[in-house]
Amino acid sequence: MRYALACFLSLLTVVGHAAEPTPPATTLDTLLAAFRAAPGVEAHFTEQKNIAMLAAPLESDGVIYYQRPGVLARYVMHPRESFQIIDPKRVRMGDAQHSETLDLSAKPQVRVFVESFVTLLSGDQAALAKTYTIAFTPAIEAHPERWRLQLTPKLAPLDKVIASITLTGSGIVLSEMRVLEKGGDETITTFTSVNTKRSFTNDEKAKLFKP
Amino acid sequence: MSRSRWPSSRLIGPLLVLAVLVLAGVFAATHMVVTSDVTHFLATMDDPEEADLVAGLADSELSRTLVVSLGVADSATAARASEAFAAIVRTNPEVAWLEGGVRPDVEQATYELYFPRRFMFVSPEPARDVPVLTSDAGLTSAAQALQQMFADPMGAALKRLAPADPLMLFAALLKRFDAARPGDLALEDGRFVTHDGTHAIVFLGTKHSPLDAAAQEPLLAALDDARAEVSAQLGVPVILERAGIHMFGVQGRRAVESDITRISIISMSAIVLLFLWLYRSLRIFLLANLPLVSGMLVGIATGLAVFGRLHGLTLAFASTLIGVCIDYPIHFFSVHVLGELGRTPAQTLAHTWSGLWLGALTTIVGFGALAASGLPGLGEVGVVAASGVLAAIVVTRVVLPPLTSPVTRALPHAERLARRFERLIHAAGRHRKVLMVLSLGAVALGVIALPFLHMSDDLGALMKRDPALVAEDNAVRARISGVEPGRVIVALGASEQQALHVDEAIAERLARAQAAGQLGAFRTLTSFLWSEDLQRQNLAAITAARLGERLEPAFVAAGFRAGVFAPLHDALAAPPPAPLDYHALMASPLASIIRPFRIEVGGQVGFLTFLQGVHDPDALAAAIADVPGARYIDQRRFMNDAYVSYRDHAALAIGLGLIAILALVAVRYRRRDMILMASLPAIGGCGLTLAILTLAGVELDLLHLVSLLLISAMGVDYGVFMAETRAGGATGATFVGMLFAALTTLLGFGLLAFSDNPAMSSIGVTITVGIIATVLLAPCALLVYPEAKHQPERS
Repeated sequence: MRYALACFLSLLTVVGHAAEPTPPATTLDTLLAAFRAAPGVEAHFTEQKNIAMLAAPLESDGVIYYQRPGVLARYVMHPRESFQIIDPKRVRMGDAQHSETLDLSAKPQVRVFVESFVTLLSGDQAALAKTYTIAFTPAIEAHPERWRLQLTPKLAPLDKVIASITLTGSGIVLSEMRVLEKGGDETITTFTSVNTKRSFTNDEKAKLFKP
Repeated sequence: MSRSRWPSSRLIGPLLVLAVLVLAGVFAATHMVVTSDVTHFLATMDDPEEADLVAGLADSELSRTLVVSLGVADSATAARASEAFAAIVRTNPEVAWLEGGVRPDVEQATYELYFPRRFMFVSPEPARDVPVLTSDAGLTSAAQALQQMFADPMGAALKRLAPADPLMLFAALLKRFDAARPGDLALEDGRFVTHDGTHAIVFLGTKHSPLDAAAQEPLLAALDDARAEVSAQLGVPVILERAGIHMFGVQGRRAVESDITRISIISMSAIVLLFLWLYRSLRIFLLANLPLVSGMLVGIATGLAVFGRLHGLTLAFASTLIGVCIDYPIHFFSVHVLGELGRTPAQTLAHTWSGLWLGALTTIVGFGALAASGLPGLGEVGVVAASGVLAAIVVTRVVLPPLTSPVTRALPHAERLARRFERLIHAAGRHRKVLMVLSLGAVALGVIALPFLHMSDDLGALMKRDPALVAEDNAVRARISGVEPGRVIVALGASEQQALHVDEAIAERLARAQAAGQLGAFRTLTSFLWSEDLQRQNLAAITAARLGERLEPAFVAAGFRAGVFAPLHDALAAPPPAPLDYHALMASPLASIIRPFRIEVGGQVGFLTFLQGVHDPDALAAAIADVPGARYIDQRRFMNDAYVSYRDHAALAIGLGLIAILALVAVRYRRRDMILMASLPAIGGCGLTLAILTLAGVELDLLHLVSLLLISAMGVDYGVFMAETRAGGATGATFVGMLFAALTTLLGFGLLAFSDNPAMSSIGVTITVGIIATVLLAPCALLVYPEAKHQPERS
């Protein structure tokens, strides 16, 4: 769960700005500053989980929606429809047959990720640095037009599960997120059709964020 | 005087009596144990086990739990306020435990206790569920579910456990624990806060009963102080609110103490002034109180010797009844000071003793009927009151005369008063028929009123709760969305294991009731602990499923690699851990979650199930009716039922007491006119009181009935005093004494009618009406039978 939330939060913060005009020079500051501007986000994703216990990778795809100030909905379309809706207080998850709500407040260790997310959106680099060691590379050697943000958890219990979260993109457009677990499992998520200026009608809010 | 007539050798008797009083006082002081458990006071033989259960609940952790709400602006401040508040209050000597949040070690403790025992907590019905879960289809389904969990972002945290727990049994346990969390609270930095973040919630348990106002008052004050300190520390306003029985106990005591202090000052001042005015002697005032004080001392000492402890209500009721003893010294002194000059106390005693002892004897018999009633509380009252009256009359007989001077001066004002009364009585005697009609009318009114009497069935009507406190209590309870107070199901057993078996059966029935819409929700210990038998049955069912051989092929077929489930095979092959028991849980960080579920009742173990949203109490009670050892308890309903039963039993005992008093009077006088003369004030006084209270629309409670007994005892005293002294020419003096005794009683008890406390008010109203009625009827009785002679057969 921690791992997943970390993925979501990191994903959201970067995806939220994937379609922004490319600034003259991408820095961590400009990325964080841009995060505050996104009213909402919609993006398609494909995900591949390489899990040691499984003979083959798990693959899925779907759509994510983000609504300020901090509600994320993740709808998986394939191979099996399901949803997760995360806000700072709770997670609602389920499928067509059933759903359940997990109270994040009862899981303080998970909640730290939500706070990290809020910290990222607020552009508070100092607060983010309390949870992660941040390494920002403005230009990757093989692809100078691309940047890389590597977050390495430094607090327990996150540091016992996640080895690193690596985000790559161009300008403020995210193209990929890799989450490497301590045990060697890895999740690679790629994003397409990103709309960082997505706003939601009341009907959409009711449908997407309160199913 | 007296020095010649009461030589020093004659003081041996008084000295002996005083020595006995001192011993009684020392015994009472050194052995005093007062209980406040109203359930034991009210317990009848109708259902002693239920009474024990309710008493057990009243003394359980549940009732000792006080919920504190700290109102602040936001959740972060709430967490800080909670932490600071807990640090201050935790050290209070009255605080047994305090929980303001989830202990950081709970998660680890849960893993250590339950993960090794995951095969023991699979299903409450393992014979039915485990074969389904571990069938080929079940294993295939479990493999797919595990894959789905891997794909699910929220399930990844449990992935590390999958090699040892591919059936996700531990995850299912955690879900069950989540559902059983107390209240609907969020966490902020590990502290309990409301979901809107504006209130921190702290639970604390007290060492003493919540109704022990002496212990709880300092604690409540300490909570206020802690709030102020936290507010100062954080620099923000903090609003303290509480939910619990504790505040009502303290508020009740404050209200009663305030009333008693106010009324006592007024009544005692008035009584002293009355004594000084009538007798012109402070000494007589002090002597007149000696029988009363002696009665209390001996009564309490006797009660403690017989029962080992006394209930607070016993002390209240018995001291009310012993109030009748003021009649004896007042009658003695009134006849004495209004006698001729030179009259000695011995002469006065000889003149009044027949009335005094008969009055006392009838009272002892009346109160003795209470002692013989078999009712635990009223039995105590009867023993204390009857022995107190006996002591009072002995002191009146043995101690007062030697300490009283002969009549050396006239009291013209009292003599004038006595003459006026005599003239008044003489004048009234011309209207005998009217008086007869009035007297019999009083009796008739009482008889007519009987069918219209309205008895209160609500014990709560005897207690006045401060509406502000009720609102505060409700507000805090609403914040935690807690269980319904007072409605629980108890699983009883001779041992914890037996009680757990019962608890498991109850949980199964309640799950069905919940599905049927009879119940909103319930919290049960079975969310955390099963009987050892059930744990072993689960383990046996898992072992029988041969998962070591069958699970891997099924999971490999569903896409898992071979060999990854070695930790599961190791766990199945290893010797199983001992079943989890209550004591292991109590020794862990989970103790605070488990503690409220357990009570002890009469040597039995009881596990509580807390109910929420009881839509149909009768259906719920019926649902568990066939589970031996399961009891549905509605505390309020039980207390009211117990109260009604007790009140009816008490009414019968009091009625029998009255009959015994009248029988004694009949045996004493053996003449219809004399019997009526002596008993009319009591019968008519009670009848008139009942009629007036009924006409006023007053609902009668237990305290009205006890007060009626006091009125009847005093009424018989008045009747007997009048009858015994009439022909001796002391009618005026007797009437002065009777009026004076009535006035002191009215001042002592009648003023309670102005109390805000419904119980005290009941006593005050009844005694006021009753004493006035008996005082008016006493001369009527005398006049109705003018020819009746005062010299009855001595028995």
